[in-house]
Amino acid sequence: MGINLPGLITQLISFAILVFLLTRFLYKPVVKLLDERAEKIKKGLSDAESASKGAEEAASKIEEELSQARLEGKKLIEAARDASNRLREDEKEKITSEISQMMDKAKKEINSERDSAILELKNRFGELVVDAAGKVIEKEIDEKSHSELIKKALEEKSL
Amino acid sequence: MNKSIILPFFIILFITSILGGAIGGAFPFGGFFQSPIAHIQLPAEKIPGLGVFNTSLTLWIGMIILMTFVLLATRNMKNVPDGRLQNIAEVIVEFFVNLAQTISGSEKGRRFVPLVLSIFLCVVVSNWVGVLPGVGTVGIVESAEVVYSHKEHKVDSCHSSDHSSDHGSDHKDFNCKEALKEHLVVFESIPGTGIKYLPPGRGESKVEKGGGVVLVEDVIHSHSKLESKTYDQKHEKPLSSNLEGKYAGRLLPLLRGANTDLNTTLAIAIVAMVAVQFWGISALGIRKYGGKFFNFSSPIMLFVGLLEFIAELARVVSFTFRLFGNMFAGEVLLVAMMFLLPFIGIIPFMGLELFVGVIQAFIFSILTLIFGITAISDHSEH
Repeated sequence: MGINLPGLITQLISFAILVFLLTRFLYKPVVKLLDERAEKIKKGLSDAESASKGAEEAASKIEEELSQARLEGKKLIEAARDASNRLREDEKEKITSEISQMMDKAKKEINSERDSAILELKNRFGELVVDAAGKVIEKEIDEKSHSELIKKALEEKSL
Repeated sequence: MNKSIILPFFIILFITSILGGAIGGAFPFGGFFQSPIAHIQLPAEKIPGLGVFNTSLTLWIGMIILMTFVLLATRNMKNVPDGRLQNIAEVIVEFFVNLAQTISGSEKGRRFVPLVLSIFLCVVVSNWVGVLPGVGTVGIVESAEVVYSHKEHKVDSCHSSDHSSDHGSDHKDFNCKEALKEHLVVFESIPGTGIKYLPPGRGESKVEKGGGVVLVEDVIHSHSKLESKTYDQKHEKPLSSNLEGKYAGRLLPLLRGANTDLNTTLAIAIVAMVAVQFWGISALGIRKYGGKFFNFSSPIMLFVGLLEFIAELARVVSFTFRLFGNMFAGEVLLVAMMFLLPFIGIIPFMGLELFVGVIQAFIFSILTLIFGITAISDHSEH
């Protein structure tokens, strides 16, 4: 059958050497690498998980802050609008009152102008009337009748 | 080559191989590519001059190929592999690590992996090297004298009777001739080079009726050169003249599948089973593990222990013969197909042999793993 001691010992030694070499150069380095990689992957996964958790938290925080900011912004805009409205109202009122004041002032001035004009007219009207009447009657009226005439004329006029 | 040529090409090849092979050899016009059915012998051949067996040589070549791949694959290992070799190495190692851990159900299964992995790789690589062309077909031509000197003992015991009686007439002489019959084939040689080769054709079947069988004795007289006159003197059947001056001898393959030798498979089986015992002792302690085999508490347990012991031995034997049988049968199958259908007959069977090579390697390694797991598991609690 071919079993003989030299052949068997040769093959035994050869196979033993092969087992040693394969263990040393294949099994050990590859298993080491696989274990390292498994460790790394595990670590990477847990890192990624924590990172994603952190990111989620950050995102929700940002969302919260954003909505808060939005709310605040809304409030601010509201306030600004109110303020501007108020300002406009105030301004309007101010302008209106100024205008009315000015109008009052103008009216008063106009009135005073008119009064003074009327007064002057009154003062000068008598003279004019006297002059006119003297011219009409063409005669000298004494002082007495003169003033009487004025008075009479004034009374008539002031009616 | 375009498609319209391929099909006719293969049909012609197929017909040629049928006609040229042994099947066609049955007809007068066929058998032009027929080779003599190769000499099939169980023991590995020792290569003269080197002093090693050809199966050892093949095993070493397989080891060199394997270690080259391993060193290339693991030389520059990266966490993110860029070479394919590293991936292959990782896949194989990881497969066995996972397998060992799954079957044993724990991390401790890892201790089996180095040996199981080595067995698998060693067996698969040496099986595949055995399928390579040239393995088993290229070698040294042993001259008839050498074959004769191997058989000297048998021949010596016959010689006297051979001289006293006439050839072929008495029963004893017939037996002697049977003993002297060897699978010698007739080689042609390339002039000036000393390279000998087997010519295609049916030449051998014309030497003797046995189909490629030449009587050693006949050739010895002619110093392994066939000469028709020696034949003419000794036999009533004249040797055809076209064999004159050719070499009669036997091919001694330089390489032969490592697992077609019982020494290799027995060596691996011994290593595996010794390792199994070692695992068992280291896991359970020598007292507990040895108690499986030598239990003197009761006659029944003694018998059970004896059976366990025999079973362990039987495992070595079954390991040895399973692998040897499969690989040897594969080699014979390839030779037979080469004989029956030259060129194409061998193709499907080469694929089959590659498959069988992996399967047998896997079976060997998995059985080692399972035996190891059985050995380290504690049965005393039952």
